[in-house]
Amino acid sequence: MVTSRAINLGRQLAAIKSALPETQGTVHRGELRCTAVLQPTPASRRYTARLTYRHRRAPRVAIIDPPLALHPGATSLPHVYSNGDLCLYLPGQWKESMLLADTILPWASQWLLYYELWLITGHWMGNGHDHRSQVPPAGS
Amino acid sequence: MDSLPGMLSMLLDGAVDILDISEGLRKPVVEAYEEVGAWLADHGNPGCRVYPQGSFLLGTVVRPGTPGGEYDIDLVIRLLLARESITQKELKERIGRLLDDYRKWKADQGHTDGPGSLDSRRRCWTLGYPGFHLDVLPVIPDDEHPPTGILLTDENLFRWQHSDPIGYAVWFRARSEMTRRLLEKRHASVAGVPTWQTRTPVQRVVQILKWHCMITFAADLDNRPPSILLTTLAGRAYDGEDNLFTAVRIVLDNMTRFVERRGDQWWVPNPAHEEENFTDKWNEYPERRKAFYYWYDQITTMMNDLAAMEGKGLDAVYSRLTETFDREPVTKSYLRYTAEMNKKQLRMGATGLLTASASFTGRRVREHTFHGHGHLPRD
Repeated sequence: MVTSRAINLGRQLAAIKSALPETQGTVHRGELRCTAVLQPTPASRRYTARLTYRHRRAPRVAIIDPPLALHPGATSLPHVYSNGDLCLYLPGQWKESMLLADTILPWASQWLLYYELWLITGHWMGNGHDHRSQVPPAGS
Repeated sequence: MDSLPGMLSMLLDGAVDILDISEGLRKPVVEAYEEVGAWLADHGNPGCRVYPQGSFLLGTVVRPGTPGGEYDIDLVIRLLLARESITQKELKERIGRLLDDYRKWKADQGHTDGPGSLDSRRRCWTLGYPGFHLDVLPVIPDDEHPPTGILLTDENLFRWQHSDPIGYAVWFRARSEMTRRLLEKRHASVAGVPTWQTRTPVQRVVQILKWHCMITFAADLDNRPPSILLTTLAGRAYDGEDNLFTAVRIVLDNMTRFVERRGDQWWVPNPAHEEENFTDKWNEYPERRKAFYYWYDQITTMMNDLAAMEGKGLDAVYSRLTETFDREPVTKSYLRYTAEMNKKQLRMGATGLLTASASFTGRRVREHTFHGHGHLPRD
Protein backbone atom coordinates (compact mmCIF):
# COMPACT_ATOMS: atom_id res chain seq x y z
CA MET A 1 0.00 0.00 0.00
CA VAL A 2 1.34 3.42 -0.89
CA THR A 3 1.47 5.65 2.16
CA SER A 4 1.48 9.37 1.50
CA ARG A 5 2.74 11.92 3.94
CA ALA A 6 0.54 12.82 6.88
CA ILE A 7 -0.58 16.43 6.94
CA ASN A 8 0.82 18.46 9.83
CA LEU A 9 -1.77 19.03 12.59
CA GLY A 10 -1.31 22.83 12.55
CA ARG A 11 -2.13 22.84 8.85
CA GLN A 12 -5.15 20.61 9.46
CA LEU A 13 -6.49 23.06 12.06
CA ALA A 14 -5.82 26.10 9.86
CA ALA A 15 -7.77 24.45 7.02
CA ILE A 16 -10.65 23.67 9.39
CA LYS A 17 -10.77 27.28 10.60
CA SER A 18 -10.73 28.48 7.04
CA ALA A 19 -13.61 26.16 6.09
CA LEU A 20 -15.62 26.73 9.28
CA PRO A 21 -14.53 30.10 10.70
CA GLU A 22 -16.42 29.67 13.97
CA THR A 23 -14.34 26.65 14.93
CA GLN A 24 -12.43 26.76 18.23
CA GLY A 25 -9.45 24.49 18.42
CA THR A 26 -5.95 23.70 19.63
CA VAL A 27 -3.07 21.43 18.79
CA HIS A 28 -1.46 20.22 21.99
CA ARG A 29 1.03 17.38 22.52
CA GLY A 30 0.36 15.86 19.15
CA GLU A 31 -3.40 16.01 19.42
CA LEU A 32 -5.76 18.21 17.47
CA ARG A 33 -8.98 19.08 19.31
CA CYS A 34 -11.63 21.37 18.01
CA THR A 35 -15.33 22.11 18.28
CA ALA A 36 -17.17 23.17 15.16
CA VAL A 37 -20.75 24.27 14.64
CA LEU A 38 -22.46 22.37 11.81
CA GLN A 39 -25.87 23.16 10.34
CA PRO A 40 -26.37 20.99 7.24
CA THR A 41 -29.47 22.83 5.98
CA PRO A 42 -31.10 26.14 6.95
CA ALA A 43 -33.92 24.19 8.59
CA SER A 44 -31.53 21.94 10.52
CA ARG A 45 -30.39 22.50 14.08
CA ARG A 46 -26.98 24.01 14.79
CA TYR A 47 -24.97 21.11 16.14
CA THR A 48 -21.71 21.40 18.04
CA ALA A 49 -19.33 18.67 16.95
CA ARG A 50 -16.08 17.79 18.72
CA LEU A 51 -13.27 16.47 16.57
CA THR A 52 -10.15 14.89 18.03
CA TYR A 53 -7.29 13.56 15.98
CA ARG A 54 -3.72 12.27 16.36
CA HIS A 55 -1.46 11.02 13.65
CA ARG A 56 -1.78 7.30 12.99
CA ARG A 57 -5.14 7.25 14.73
CA ALA A 58 -8.59 7.53 13.23
CA PRO A 59 -10.17 11.00 13.58
CA ARG A 60 -13.04 10.92 16.06
CA VAL A 61 -16.17 13.02 15.85
CA ALA A 62 -18.84 13.25 18.53
CA ILE A 63 -21.89 15.51 18.64
CA ILE A 64 -21.89 17.26 22.00
CA ASP A 65 -24.88 19.57 21.59
CA PRO A 66 -27.84 19.28 21.29
CA PRO A 67 -28.24 15.70 22.57
CA LEU A 68 -29.07 13.32 19.72
CA ALA A 69 -32.53 11.77 19.79
CA LEU A 70 -33.92 8.45 18.60
CA HIS A 71 -36.57 7.74 16.01
CA PRO A 72 -39.68 6.44 17.80
CA GLY A 73 -39.26 2.69 17.86
CA ALA A 74 -35.49 2.73 17.44
CA THR A 75 -33.25 1.65 20.29
CA SER A 76 -29.97 3.00 18.96
CA LEU A 77 -28.59 5.54 16.53
CA PRO A 78 -27.53 4.33 13.10
CA HIS A 79 -23.91 4.72 12.04
CA VAL A 80 -22.34 5.41 15.40
CA TYR A 81 -19.68 3.46 17.26
CA SER A 82 -20.37 1.97 20.65
CA ASN A 83 -18.80 5.02 22.31
CA GLY A 84 -21.13 7.39 20.45
CA ASP A 85 -18.61 8.61 17.86
CA LEU A 86 -19.96 8.95 14.33
CA CYS A 87 -19.10 6.28 11.75
CA LEU A 88 -18.32 8.39 8.73
CA TYR A 89 -16.36 6.26 6.28
CA LEU A 90 -15.26 2.79 5.36
CA PRO A 91 -11.74 1.67 6.19
CA GLY A 92 -9.41 3.08 3.57
CA GLN A 93 -11.63 5.98 2.50
CA TRP A 94 -9.85 8.42 4.76
CA LYS A 95 -6.09 8.90 4.75
CA GLU A 96 -3.70 11.09 6.72
CA SER A 97 -2.80 12.88 3.52
CA MET A 98 -6.34 14.27 3.33
CA LEU A 99 -7.57 17.47 4.92
CA LEU A 100 -10.09 16.91 7.72
CA ALA A 101 -11.79 20.10 6.47
CA ASP A 102 -12.53 18.43 3.12
CA THR A 103 -13.50 15.05 4.48
CA ILE A 104 -14.35 14.35 8.11
CA LEU A 105 -16.17 17.62 8.81
CA PRO A 106 -18.35 17.72 5.67
CA TRP A 107 -19.05 14.03 6.23
CA ALA A 108 -20.15 14.85 9.77
CA SER A 109 -22.44 17.56 8.41
CA GLN A 110 -23.88 15.01 5.98
CA TRP A 111 -24.29 12.56 8.84
CA LEU A 112 -26.36 15.21 10.64
CA LEU A 113 -28.53 15.76 7.56
CA TYR A 114 -29.28 12.03 7.32
CA TYR A 115 -29.77 11.85 11.07
CA GLU A 116 -32.55 14.47 10.93
CA LEU A 117 -34.15 12.61 8.02
CA TRP A 118 -33.79 9.35 9.98
CA LEU A 119 -35.70 10.97 12.85
CA ILE A 120 -38.60 11.39 10.39
CA THR A 121 -38.55 8.12 8.49
CA GLY A 122 -36.60 5.66 10.59
CA HIS A 123 -34.50 4.90 7.52
CA TRP A 124 -30.93 5.91 6.89
CA MET A 125 -31.18 7.47 3.46
CA GLY A 126 -27.56 8.27 2.86
CA ASN A 127 -25.32 5.58 1.49
CA GLY A 128 -24.01 3.18 4.06
CA HIS A 129 -23.17 -0.45 4.51
CA ASP A 130 -25.03 -1.39 7.61
CA HIS A 131 -28.27 -3.01 6.66
CA ARG A 132 -29.41 -2.98 10.24
CA SER A 133 -29.85 0.76 9.88
CA GLN A 134 -32.39 0.29 7.10
CA VAL A 135 -34.91 -1.19 9.50
CA PRO A 136 -35.63 -0.25 13.09
CA PRO A 137 -32.63 -1.71 14.91
CA ALA A 138 -33.37 -4.97 16.64
CA GLY A 139 -31.48 -3.83 19.71
CA SER A 140 -28.16 -5.51 19.01
CA MET B 1 -32.11 25.66 -0.87
CA ASP B 2 -29.46 27.80 0.78
CA SER B 3 -32.05 29.70 2.78
CA LEU B 4 -35.01 28.61 4.85
CA PRO B 5 -37.55 30.00 2.33
CA GLY B 6 -35.65 28.16 -0.41
CA MET B 7 -35.77 24.91 1.53
CA LEU B 8 -39.47 25.28 2.41
CA SER B 9 -40.30 26.17 -1.20
CA MET B 10 -38.61 23.02 -2.40
CA LEU B 11 -40.47 20.86 0.13
CA LEU B 12 -43.86 22.43 -0.60
CA ASP B 13 -43.27 22.35 -4.34
CA GLY B 14 -42.41 18.66 -4.13
CA ALA B 15 -45.53 17.91 -2.09
CA VAL B 16 -48.00 19.64 -4.41
CA ASP B 17 -46.22 18.10 -7.37
CA ILE B 18 -47.19 14.70 -5.94
CA LEU B 19 -50.82 15.89 -5.82
CA ASP B 20 -50.71 17.37 -9.30
CA ILE B 21 -51.91 15.28 -12.21
CA SER B 22 -49.13 13.11 -13.58
CA GLU B 23 -48.12 13.07 -17.23
CA GLY B 24 -49.19 9.44 -17.27
CA LEU B 25 -52.76 10.34 -16.32
CA ARG B 26 -52.92 13.56 -18.31
CA LYS B 27 -52.74 11.59 -21.55
CA PRO B 28 -55.79 9.34 -20.98
CA VAL B 29 -57.75 12.37 -19.73
CA VAL B 30 -57.05 14.36 -22.88
CA GLU B 31 -57.69 11.34 -25.11
CA ALA B 32 -60.98 10.67 -23.36
CA TYR B 33 -62.41 14.14 -23.80
CA GLU B 34 -61.02 14.63 -27.29
CA GLU B 35 -62.75 11.45 -28.35
CA VAL B 36 -66.06 12.59 -26.85
CA GLY B 37 -65.71 15.89 -28.74
CA ALA B 38 -64.80 14.23 -32.03
CA TRP B 39 -67.66 11.76 -31.73
CA LEU B 40 -70.21 14.49 -31.05
CA ALA B 41 -68.95 16.55 -33.98
CA ASP B 42 -69.15 13.47 -36.26
CA HIS B 43 -72.67 12.58 -35.11
CA GLY B 44 -74.68 15.52 -36.22
CA ASN B 45 -73.37 18.34 -34.02
CA PRO B 46 -70.88 20.09 -36.29
CA GLY B 47 -70.54 23.26 -34.20
CA CYS B 48 -70.03 21.30 -31.02
CA ARG B 49 -66.88 21.89 -29.02
CA VAL B 50 -65.56 20.02 -26.00
CA TYR B 51 -62.83 21.75 -24.00
CA PRO B 52 -61.41 21.72 -20.48
CA GLN B 53 -62.13 24.42 -17.99
CA GLY B 54 -61.21 25.03 -14.36
CA SER B 55 -58.11 23.63 -12.71
CA PHE B 56 -57.18 21.28 -15.55
CA LEU B 57 -57.06 24.22 -17.94
CA LEU B 58 -55.36 26.47 -15.39
CA GLY B 59 -52.72 23.94 -14.35
CA THR B 60 -53.78 24.00 -10.69
CA VAL B 61 -55.13 20.48 -10.24
CA VAL B 62 -54.85 19.02 -6.74
CA ARG B 63 -55.78 15.41 -6.05
CA PRO B 64 -58.39 15.08 -3.29
CA GLY B 65 -56.85 13.83 -0.08
CA THR B 66 -59.50 11.19 0.56
CA PRO B 67 -58.32 7.59 0.12
CA GLY B 68 -58.94 6.54 -3.46
CA GLY B 69 -59.68 10.20 -4.22
CA GLU B 70 -60.08 10.73 -7.94
CA TYR B 71 -59.14 13.66 -10.08
CA ASP B 72 -62.07 15.82 -11.04
CA ILE B 73 -61.67 17.19 -14.56
CA ASP B 74 -64.11 19.92 -15.60
CA LEU B 75 -65.12 20.11 -19.23
CA VAL B 76 -67.51 22.15 -21.28
CA ILE B 77 -69.67 20.77 -24.08
CA ARG B 78 -70.82 23.71 -26.10
CA LEU B 79 -73.59 23.31 -28.66
CA LEU B 80 -74.05 26.11 -31.16
CA LEU B 81 -77.63 26.97 -30.26
CA ALA B 82 -79.39 30.26 -29.63
CA ARG B 83 -80.64 30.91 -26.12
CA GLU B 84 -84.21 31.36 -27.36
CA SER B 85 -84.22 27.98 -29.08
CA ILE B 86 -83.75 25.77 -26.03
CA THR B 87 -84.42 25.68 -22.30
CA GLN B 88 -81.84 24.74 -19.66
CA LYS B 89 -83.64 21.48 -19.02
CA GLU B 90 -83.77 20.59 -22.71
CA LEU B 91 -80.08 21.34 -23.15
CA LYS B 92 -79.12 19.21 -20.16
CA GLU B 93 -81.26 16.31 -21.43
CA ARG B 94 -80.04 16.63 -24.97
CA ILE B 95 -76.38 16.45 -23.91
CA GLY B 96 -77.27 13.55 -21.63
CA ARG B 97 -78.76 11.64 -24.58
CA LEU B 98 -75.71 12.37 -26.73
CA LEU B 99 -73.37 11.11 -24.01
CA ASP B 100 -75.52 8.04 -23.55
CA ASP B 101 -75.38 7.37 -27.33
CA TYR B 102 -71.63 7.81 -27.19
CA ARG B 103 -71.36 5.20 -24.43
CA LYS B 104 -73.52 2.77 -26.42
CA TRP B 105 -71.43 3.35 -29.51
CA LYS B 106 -68.24 2.64 -27.51
CA ALA B 107 -69.76 -0.59 -26.23
CA ASP B 108 -70.96 -1.60 -29.73
CA GLN B 109 -67.47 -1.06 -31.08
CA GLY B 110 -66.13 -3.37 -28.42
CA HIS B 111 -64.03 -0.57 -26.93
CA THR B 112 -63.13 -1.04 -23.31
CA ASP B 113 -61.74 2.45 -22.68
CA GLY B 114 -65.12 4.20 -22.66
CA PRO B 115 -66.68 5.80 -19.59
CA GLY B 116 -67.83 3.23 -17.04
CA SER B 117 -70.63 5.43 -15.76
CA LEU B 118 -72.77 8.43 -16.65
CA ASP B 119 -74.50 10.35 -13.86
CA SER B 120 -76.49 13.55 -13.72
CA ARG B 121 -75.46 16.28 -11.27
CA ARG B 122 -76.83 19.72 -10.62
CA ARG B 123 -74.87 21.53 -13.31
CA CYS B 124 -73.18 18.73 -15.23
CA TRP B 125 -73.00 15.17 -16.42
CA THR B 126 -70.29 13.03 -14.87
CA LEU B 127 -68.47 10.42 -16.92
CA GLY B 128 -66.51 7.95 -14.81
CA TYR B 129 -63.13 6.57 -15.91
CA PRO B 130 -60.49 4.65 -13.96
CA GLY B 131 -58.65 7.18 -11.75
CA PHE B 132 -60.60 10.25 -12.82
CA HIS B 133 -63.99 11.50 -13.81
CA LEU B 134 -65.05 14.10 -16.31
CA ASP B 135 -67.63 16.64 -15.17
CA VAL B 136 -69.18 17.81 -18.39
CA LEU B 137 -71.10 21.09 -18.33
CA PRO B 138 -73.70 21.51 -21.09
CA VAL B 139 -73.44 25.07 -22.40
CA ILE B 140 -74.45 27.35 -25.27
CA PRO B 141 -72.72 30.55 -26.42
CA ASP B 142 -73.52 33.77 -24.54
CA ASP B 143 -74.20 36.28 -27.31
CA GLU B 144 -73.87 39.15 -24.86
CA HIS B 145 -70.24 38.22 -24.10
CA PRO B 146 -68.57 37.14 -27.33
CA PRO B 147 -66.41 35.39 -28.27
CA THR B 148 -65.79 33.13 -25.25
CA GLY B 149 -68.77 33.83 -22.95
CA ILE B 150 -71.06 30.85 -22.31
CA LEU B 151 -74.38 30.10 -20.61
CA LEU B 152 -74.65 27.18 -18.19
CA THR B 153 -77.55 25.15 -16.90
CA ASP B 154 -78.31 24.76 -13.22
CA GLU B 155 -81.16 22.54 -11.99
CA ASN B 156 -81.76 24.78 -9.00
CA LEU B 157 -81.79 28.12 -10.76
CA PHE B 158 -84.34 29.49 -13.17
CA ARG B 159 -81.96 31.79 -15.06
CA TRP B 160 -79.08 30.71 -17.26
CA GLN B 161 -75.74 31.19 -15.50
CA HIS B 162 -73.05 33.24 -17.24
CA SER B 163 -69.50 32.03 -17.38
CA ASP B 164 -66.31 32.48 -19.37
CA PRO B 165 -63.73 29.82 -18.52
CA ILE B 166 -61.54 30.62 -21.51
CA GLY B 167 -61.53 34.33 -20.71
CA TYR B 168 -60.64 33.45 -17.13
CA ALA B 169 -57.80 31.17 -18.20
CA VAL B 170 -56.39 33.94 -20.40
CA TRP B 171 -56.37 36.26 -17.37
CA PHE B 172 -54.79 33.63 -15.13
CA ARG B 173 -52.14 32.73 -17.68
CA ALA B 174 -51.15 36.37 -17.96
CA ARG B 175 -50.67 36.44 -14.15
CA SER B 176 -48.59 33.25 -14.41
CA GLU B 177 -46.47 34.12 -17.35
CA MET B 178 -45.40 37.47 -16.12
CA THR B 179 -43.02 35.51 -13.91
CA ARG B 180 -42.38 32.52 -16.12
CA ARG B 181 -40.56 34.95 -18.40
CA LEU B 182 -38.59 36.25 -15.41
CA LEU B 183 -37.79 32.72 -14.29
CA GLU B 184 -36.51 31.68 -17.67
CA LYS B 185 -34.31 34.73 -17.80
CA ARG B 186 -32.87 34.07 -14.37
CA HIS B 187 -32.20 30.38 -14.96
CA ALA B 188 -30.88 30.77 -18.46
CA SER B 189 -27.35 31.19 -17.10
CA VAL B 190 -27.52 28.57 -14.35
CA ALA B 191 -29.21 25.55 -16.01
CA GLY B 192 -30.35 24.62 -12.52
CA VAL B 193 -34.13 24.43 -12.78
CA PRO B 194 -35.18 21.20 -11.08
CA THR B 195 -36.78 18.94 -13.64
CA TRP B 196 -40.09 18.80 -11.76
CA GLN B 197 -40.51 22.55 -11.67
CA THR B 198 -42.79 22.78 -14.65
CA ARG B 199 -45.47 24.87 -12.97
CA THR B 200 -45.17 28.60 -12.51
CA PRO B 201 -45.01 29.97 -8.97
CA VAL B 202 -48.56 31.31 -9.13
CA GLN B 203 -49.90 27.89 -10.16
CA ARG B 204 -48.06 26.34 -7.23
CA VAL B 205 -49.33 29.02 -4.85
CA VAL B 206 -52.90 28.21 -5.89
CA GLN B 207 -52.27 24.48 -5.45
CA ILE B 208 -50.99 25.03 -1.91
CA LEU B 209 -53.97 27.23 -1.00
CA LYS B 210 -56.39 24.67 -2.46
CA TRP B 211 -54.68 21.76 -0.74
CA HIS B 212 -54.79 23.49 2.61
CA CYS B 213 -58.42 24.49 2.09
CA MET B 214 -59.44 20.98 1.02
CA ILE B 215 -58.00 19.57 4.24
CA THR B 216 -59.44 22.30 6.46
CA PHE B 217 -62.94 21.65 5.15
CA ALA B 218 -62.74 17.90 4.60
CA ALA B 219 -65.74 17.44 6.92
CA ASP B 220 -67.58 20.64 6.02
CA LEU B 221 -67.81 20.75 2.23
CA ASP B 222 -70.72 23.21 2.16
CA ASN B 223 -68.65 25.93 3.77
CA ARG B 224 -65.45 25.24 1.85
CA PRO B 225 -64.36 28.37 -0.01
CA PRO B 226 -64.60 27.61 -3.74
CA SER B 227 -61.36 27.04 -5.66
CA ILE B 228 -62.24 29.77 -8.12
CA LEU B 229 -62.36 32.31 -5.27
CA LEU B 230 -58.93 31.24 -3.94
CA THR B 231 -57.50 31.20 -7.47
CA THR B 232 -58.84 34.67 -8.23
CA LEU B 233 -57.63 36.25 -4.99
CA ALA B 234 -54.22 34.58 -5.36
CA GLY B 235 -53.90 35.67 -8.98
CA ARG B 236 -54.76 39.25 -8.03
CA ALA B 237 -52.46 39.35 -4.99
CA TYR B 238 -49.48 37.69 -6.65
CA ASP B 239 -46.65 40.13 -7.30
CA GLY B 240 -44.17 38.16 -9.41
CA GLU B 241 -42.16 36.60 -6.56
CA ASP B 242 -40.48 33.41 -7.78
CA ASN B 243 -39.65 31.83 -4.42
CA LEU B 244 -42.73 29.72 -3.73
CA PHE B 245 -42.74 30.00 0.05
CA THR B 246 -42.31 33.77 -0.04
CA ALA B 247 -44.89 34.02 -2.84
CA VAL B 248 -47.49 32.25 -0.68
CA ARG B 249 -46.79 34.64 2.18
CA ILE B 250 -47.04 37.70 -0.07
CA VAL B 251 -50.29 36.41 -1.53
CA LEU B 252 -51.66 35.85 1.98
CA ASP B 253 -50.57 39.32 3.04
CA ASN B 254 -52.42 40.89 0.14
CA MET B 255 -55.31 38.66 -0.89
CA THR B 256 -58.02 39.90 1.45
CA ARG B 257 -57.60 43.42 0.05
CA PHE B 258 -59.29 42.20 -3.12
CA VAL B 259 -62.52 41.42 -1.31
CA GLU B 260 -64.67 44.45 -2.06
CA ARG B 261 -67.68 45.93 -0.36
CA ARG B 262 -70.25 47.17 -2.89
CA GLY B 263 -73.16 48.73 -1.04
CA ASP B 264 -74.14 46.03 1.42
CA GLN B 265 -72.69 43.23 -0.72
CA TRP B 266 -69.35 41.38 -0.55
CA TRP B 267 -67.79 41.29 -4.00
CA VAL B 268 -64.94 39.48 -5.70
CA PRO B 269 -65.57 39.98 -9.40
CA ASN B 270 -64.67 37.38 -12.00
CA PRO B 271 -61.71 39.02 -13.81
CA ALA B 272 -63.14 37.73 -17.10
CA HIS B 273 -66.72 38.68 -16.38
CA GLU B 274 -67.20 41.69 -14.12
CA GLU B 275 -70.87 41.00 -13.35
CA GLU B 276 -70.08 37.64 -11.83
CA ASN B 277 -69.44 37.79 -8.10
CA PHE B 278 -67.45 34.88 -6.62
CA THR B 279 -68.58 35.83 -3.11
CA ASP B 280 -72.30 36.12 -3.83
CA LYS B 281 -72.93 33.24 -1.44
CA TRP B 282 -71.37 35.23 1.41
CA ASN B 283 -74.25 37.66 1.17
CA GLU B 284 -76.77 34.88 1.52
CA TYR B 285 -74.87 32.71 4.02
CA PRO B 286 -72.66 34.82 6.32
CA GLU B 287 -71.11 31.66 7.78
CA ARG B 288 -69.36 31.09 4.44
CA ARG B 289 -67.51 34.37 4.81
CA LYS B 290 -66.57 33.36 8.35
CA ALA B 291 -65.38 29.99 7.03
CA PHE B 292 -63.17 31.73 4.50
CA TYR B 293 -61.52 33.89 7.18
CA TYR B 294 -61.14 30.90 9.46
CA TRP B 295 -59.22 29.11 6.71
CA TYR B 296 -57.25 32.27 5.98
CA ASP B 297 -56.15 32.52 9.64
CA GLN B 298 -55.20 28.84 9.71
CA ILE B 299 -52.98 28.95 6.66
CA THR B 300 -51.44 32.28 7.68
CA THR B 301 -50.55 30.82 11.08
CA MET B 302 -49.01 27.77 9.47
CA MET B 303 -46.89 29.86 7.11
CA ASN B 304 -45.77 32.11 9.97
CA ASP B 305 -44.82 29.06 12.04
CA LEU B 306 -42.80 27.65 9.16
CA ALA B 307 -41.05 30.97 8.57
CA ALA B 308 -39.83 30.88 12.17
CA MET B 309 -38.27 27.40 11.87
CA GLU B 310 -34.73 28.34 10.92
CA GLY B 311 -32.43 26.02 12.89
CA LYS B 312 -35.29 24.05 14.47
CA GLY B 313 -34.59 20.76 12.69
CA LEU B 314 -35.76 19.16 9.45
CA ASP B 315 -37.80 16.77 11.56
CA ALA B 316 -39.49 19.68 13.37
CA VAL B 317 -40.40 21.22 9.99
CA TYR B 318 -41.80 17.84 8.97
CA SER B 319 -43.89 17.69 12.14
CA ARG B 320 -45.29 21.17 11.54
CA LEU B 321 -46.12 20.38 7.91
CA THR B 322 -47.83 17.10 8.74
CA GLU B 323 -49.76 18.70 11.59
CA THR B 324 -51.67 20.38 8.75
CA PHE B 325 -51.10 18.45 5.56
CA ASP B 326 -51.49 14.76 4.85
CA ARG B 327 -48.37 12.72 5.48
CA GLU B 328 -47.94 10.95 2.14
CA PRO B 329 -47.13 13.89 -0.14
CA VAL B 330 -44.96 15.57 2.51
CA THR B 331 -42.97 12.37 3.08
CA LYS B 332 -42.56 11.81 -0.65
CA SER B 333 -41.30 15.35 -1.03
CA TYR B 334 -38.68 14.77 1.68
CA LEU B 335 -37.61 11.54 -0.04
CA ARG B 336 -37.30 13.35 -3.33
CA TYR B 337 -35.15 16.01 -1.68
CA THR B 338 -32.93 13.31 -0.18
CA ALA B 339 -32.58 11.58 -3.53
CA GLU B 340 -31.51 14.88 -5.10
CA MET B 341 -28.92 15.42 -2.37
CA ASN B 342 -27.61 11.87 -2.86
CA LYS B 343 -27.24 12.33 -6.60
CA LYS B 344 -25.37 15.59 -6.64
CA GLN B 345 -21.88 16.74 -5.89
CA LEU B 346 -22.26 18.58 -2.60
CA ARG B 347 -20.32 21.50 -1.27
CA MET B 348 -20.05 22.67 2.31
CA GLY B 349 -20.35 26.30 3.35
CA ALA B 350 -18.93 28.18 6.31
CA THR B 351 -21.59 26.96 8.76
CA GLY B 352 -21.59 23.35 7.59
CA LEU B 353 -24.39 24.10 5.12
CA LEU B 354 -24.52 21.44 2.41
CA THR B 355 -25.62 22.49 -0.99
CA ALA B 356 -25.83 20.99 -4.43
CA SER B 357 -25.81 24.38 -6.13
CA ALA B 358 -23.06 24.64 -8.71
CA SER B 359 -22.75 28.39 -8.21
CA PHE B 360 -21.91 27.93 -4.53
CA THR B 361 -18.22 28.27 -3.73
CA GLY B 362 -17.99 26.03 -0.66
CA ARG B 363 -15.61 23.09 -0.25
CA ARG B 364 -16.35 20.02 -2.31
CA VAL B 365 -17.47 17.06 -0.24
CA ARG B 366 -15.47 13.96 -1.07
CA GLU B 367 -17.10 10.61 -1.78
CA HIS B 368 -17.45 8.33 1.22
CA THR B 369 -19.68 5.65 2.69
CA PHE B 370 -21.11 5.78 6.18
CA HIS B 371 -19.70 2.83 8.06
CA GLY B 372 -21.77 0.33 9.96
CA HIS B 373 -21.99 0.67 13.68
CA GLY B 374 -20.69 -1.28 16.59
CA HIS B 375 -16.98 -1.67 15.95
CA LEU B 376 -14.52 0.95 17.05
CA PRO B 377 -11.91 1.83 14.44
CA ARG B 378 -8.25 1.04 14.96
CA ASP B 379 -7.23 3.40 17.72
